[in-house]
Amino acid sequence: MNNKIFIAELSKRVGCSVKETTELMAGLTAELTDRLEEENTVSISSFGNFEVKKKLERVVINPSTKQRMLVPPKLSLTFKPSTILKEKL
Amino acid sequence: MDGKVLLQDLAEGLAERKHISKKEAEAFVRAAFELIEEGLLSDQLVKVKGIGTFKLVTVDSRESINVNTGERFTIDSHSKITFSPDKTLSDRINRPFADFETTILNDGTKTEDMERIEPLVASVPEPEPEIVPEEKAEPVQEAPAVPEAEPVSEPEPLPEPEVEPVPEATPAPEPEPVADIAPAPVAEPESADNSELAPVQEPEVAPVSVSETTPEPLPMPEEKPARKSRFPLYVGTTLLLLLLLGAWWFFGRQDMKESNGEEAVAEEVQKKTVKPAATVSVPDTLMSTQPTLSAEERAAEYAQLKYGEYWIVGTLDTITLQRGDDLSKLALEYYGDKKLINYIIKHNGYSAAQANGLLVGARVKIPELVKKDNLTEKPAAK
Repeated sequence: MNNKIFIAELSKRVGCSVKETTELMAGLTAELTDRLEEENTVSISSFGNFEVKKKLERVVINPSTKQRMLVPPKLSLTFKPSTILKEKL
Repeated sequence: MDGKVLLQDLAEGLAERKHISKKEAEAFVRAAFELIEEGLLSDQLVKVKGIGTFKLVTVDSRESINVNTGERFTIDSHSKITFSPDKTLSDRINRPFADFETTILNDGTKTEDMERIEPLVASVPEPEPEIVPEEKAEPVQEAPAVPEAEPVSEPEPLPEPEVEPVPEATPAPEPEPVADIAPAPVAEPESADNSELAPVQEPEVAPVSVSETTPEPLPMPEEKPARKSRFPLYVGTTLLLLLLLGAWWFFGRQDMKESNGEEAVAEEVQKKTVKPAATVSVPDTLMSTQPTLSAEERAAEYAQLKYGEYWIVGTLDTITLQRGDDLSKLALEYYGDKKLINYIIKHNGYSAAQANGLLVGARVKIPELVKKDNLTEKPAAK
């Protein structure tokens, strides 16, 4: 299911036009992104948790060239599905 | 900052942004996530622009062991949700660290080395005291029977030849301390004269000894510039000061000597050099030059060193150990890294104990090293 189908389906459910839905969805993603950027955990009870985790820098070795590389630290977004969602699968 | 953001909070934010009622917003957010859920169940994959991709991945059944009971049981195949955030989203979240890039580390820069550098820098001044004991070591052997009354005066004569190439400089410093300490030779300069004429033995031994002892002062000046270049300037200046001090001492001595007559000096030169000859030939382990490290400590140090970064492709040089030489010093001289001493040890087939107890005059092969780098096979010996 790609974005287009998703928006179309969503508009049907909410009862708005596709254009409105697109705008609302953009607003939602913006909101979600902002919250996550503040390193908050976003938790949707029936769906799951979005969490920002910090990964430390590390040295890796390219197995084929034996080159040693220093990978910088980074913040990554993780998603952990809630138990409710897991049970549904 | 921390604290959980709930669906309601998201809806509130959305309501503010889009100027809709909270109720509407909440309904919309709920619907959106529900749809993602349903889409996952029906299509196994949902892509939402700006957020990312949710995917259902099936996990095969596998066997596992109950940690508590030790029983084997199978975990049924199931599906799990994976989420990979949108590029724009992950980039925004990683913005605080966006400036960092993955860098390739050269062979030389090891993380362990970074810690090692500090002790290395700290130890830089160390070699200076190292030199002093070396210098000391020589005069001490020249007069082994002499009481240790004047160890201070002994290091000085050696630096002398560097400061001013006085013709008699090289032979003179050696007898000097002895002359000071042992008044006997001064008392019998004539007997020395006699010995020169009558027993042919002494003069014969003397030249030999001279030839043996002279090579020692020679390598010293060679090594010193090499070292100095590595040391900070202040070490050089302190060395200079030391030399000047030595010169001052030396001349103070010579004045005293002159009262004894210059002939006596010449005689003593020959006489005294005989003594050093005897002592120099006595095998003395190199360890004596570095009394700070015990044999065990050194062995431990060697054990820590690792092989692996270089190939030994042949023998670069074969040298005879001189007094004051040290394998790690050789490594520093030839490769610029003390740590590479293990290659020398390996190339000569020494055990750690043997490497510690090498004698003056031992022949040491210096291996030619080639960095392994990307080579997976040992290059042909040159």
